[in-house]
Amino acid sequence: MTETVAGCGIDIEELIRFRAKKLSEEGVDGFSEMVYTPDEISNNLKSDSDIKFPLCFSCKEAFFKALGVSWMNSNISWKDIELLFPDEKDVLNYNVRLSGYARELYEKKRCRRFETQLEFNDEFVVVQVVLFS
Amino acid sequence: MGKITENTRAEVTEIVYRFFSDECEVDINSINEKTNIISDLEGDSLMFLELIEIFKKKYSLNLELKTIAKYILRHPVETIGQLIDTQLLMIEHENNLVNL
Repeated sequence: MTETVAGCGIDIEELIRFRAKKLSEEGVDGFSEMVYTPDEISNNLKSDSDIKFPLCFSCKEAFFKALGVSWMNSNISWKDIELLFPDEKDVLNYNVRLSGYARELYEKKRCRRFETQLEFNDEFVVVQVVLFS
Repeated sequence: MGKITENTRAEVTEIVYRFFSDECEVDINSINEKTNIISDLEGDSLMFLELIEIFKKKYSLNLELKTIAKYILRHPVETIGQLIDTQLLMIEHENNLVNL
């Protein structure tokens, strides 16, 4: 069966904009509560790396773009897309989980799989998502 | 729910103008109610979420992101003036915004 690209999204975020939102185990700020799932928060708090939250945010944005929606023009929620790192020391080992309206849209577009690519340096994170049907 | 006074409007306006001036590194005097958030200031989702968080904290608002998204879906926000009006409605109606 031939595979076709059903959507593509790319997002870039500046790390400095997230550094002010440094989270601690004592208190999760309102911004994080609005955007990240409890699993993302607990998963990322265990890590010393300061790029996991920006990567999570960028991954959500890239998925919105690949699905052709925005959180302001659809029922999609920031928490419908989760980026989790099973190994706290390895940023390149990750899983993406879809739920809610994101999962619904993904199925509606008859997507069968997706590829996610994360890249980063000292200043930026970039996430690219390609959906295949 | 908060009652909107002239003082609240002035306070919200000041916060919004200062926020975009700092975030977008533009002169505060170059911002006015007709300034377009995307095309003139290159605003993005992160800025919008930060601003919501500032107002939620400042006015102790009981306001879900989904409620805001549903409202904006019906009343798009493009300019600084529209954003200020929307922030005032959020302060006044909180989660009842969805019924407007």
